[in-house]
Amino acid sequence: MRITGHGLSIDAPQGWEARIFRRDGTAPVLHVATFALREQDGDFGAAATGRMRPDDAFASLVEYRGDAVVRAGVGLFAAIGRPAALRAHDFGSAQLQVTRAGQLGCQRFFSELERPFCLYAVIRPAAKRPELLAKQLSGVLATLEFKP
Amino acid sequence: MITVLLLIETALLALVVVFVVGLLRSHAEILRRLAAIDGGGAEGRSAPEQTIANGTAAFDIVGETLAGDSVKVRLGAGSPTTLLAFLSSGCAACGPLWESLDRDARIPAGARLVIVAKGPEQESMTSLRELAPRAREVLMSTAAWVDYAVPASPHFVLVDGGSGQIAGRGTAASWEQIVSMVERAVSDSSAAGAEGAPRARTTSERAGRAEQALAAAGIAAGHPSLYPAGNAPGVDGRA
Repeated sequence: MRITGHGLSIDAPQGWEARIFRRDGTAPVLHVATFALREQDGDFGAAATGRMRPDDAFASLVEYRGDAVVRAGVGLFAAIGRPAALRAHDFGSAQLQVTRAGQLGCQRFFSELERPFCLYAVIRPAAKRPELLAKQLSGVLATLEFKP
Repeated sequence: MITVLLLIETALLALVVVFVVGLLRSHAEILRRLAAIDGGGAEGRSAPEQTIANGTAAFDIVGETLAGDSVKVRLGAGSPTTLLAFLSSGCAACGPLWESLDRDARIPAGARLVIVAKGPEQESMTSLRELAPRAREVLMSTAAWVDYAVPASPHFVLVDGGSGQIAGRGTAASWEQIVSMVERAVSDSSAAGAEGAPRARTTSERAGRAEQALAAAGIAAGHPSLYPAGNAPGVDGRA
């Protein structure tokens, strides 16, 4: 089922939950996960990832407000276009925003339609291998659409 | 002359036939539309089942919040137990419930609460914004009302997180009634799950289950443990 809002759109298949929201005066944030999401979850899912069960996956797409320092296509956001499909070896415990046992994280900065974004993904492999979780998460992220 | 009369008669007969066929078609169209209204059908969308019973798999919900955010709520197996509250801004009976929600109503059975209103095309956004509790999100989704065959508001549906199935549904005029309804539904489903069979509905069924449980424990008729006062049949002559 596809949800669309604030210039973003994603198809969250069965078993996935998704939210596209914007806090007062800030740029949009998109969350997608295999577990229940909450309105109060932080932009990078600091609270949400604390609720991850074994074999859960989570991703957050955070848009940044452009200013003199943060500019689409420049510096940290120089990469143009969404990141390639995430692979198991892209994830690591050192890339977690909040370190939690069993979790692996991945961060990618890029620009799309002159909009600077950060994609932050977390998986918690257990019965499922990291390759499978990364593939399932990438499959969902591949449905992302950006609108002006 | 006779030929002319015959021709006129034939023409009149043909006219009557056309008139009758037209009437029948009109009647059929009226019946079809009445049937559609009875079934709650809407143009472009298949009519929902009249009743969605307990045990039916729950539907995911896609909707929009009052802030314009987009949300997909997953309600399949493995999701949290969820209480769906179908409320509207125009129903008088919903008033006390909206107020209860604003007073931090207790959500029974540790369930997640999802308030579902109809979409902006069928709701007054101004009224909804006034009624919506500050601390709780309201999801607008007309499709969810159709999927869950909501007959009228207020209406509540409890979705069991373990199975992803509807555990109970009904209407309530106060939050206390909802708490009671949900706790009863949870109790019913856990009792059924614990026994591995549907809950006993009659006295005979319950008695039969008690007999089976006692027999499994090696307690048969006349067992001394059934007569703690020592008045077993044959002891003092009473049965």
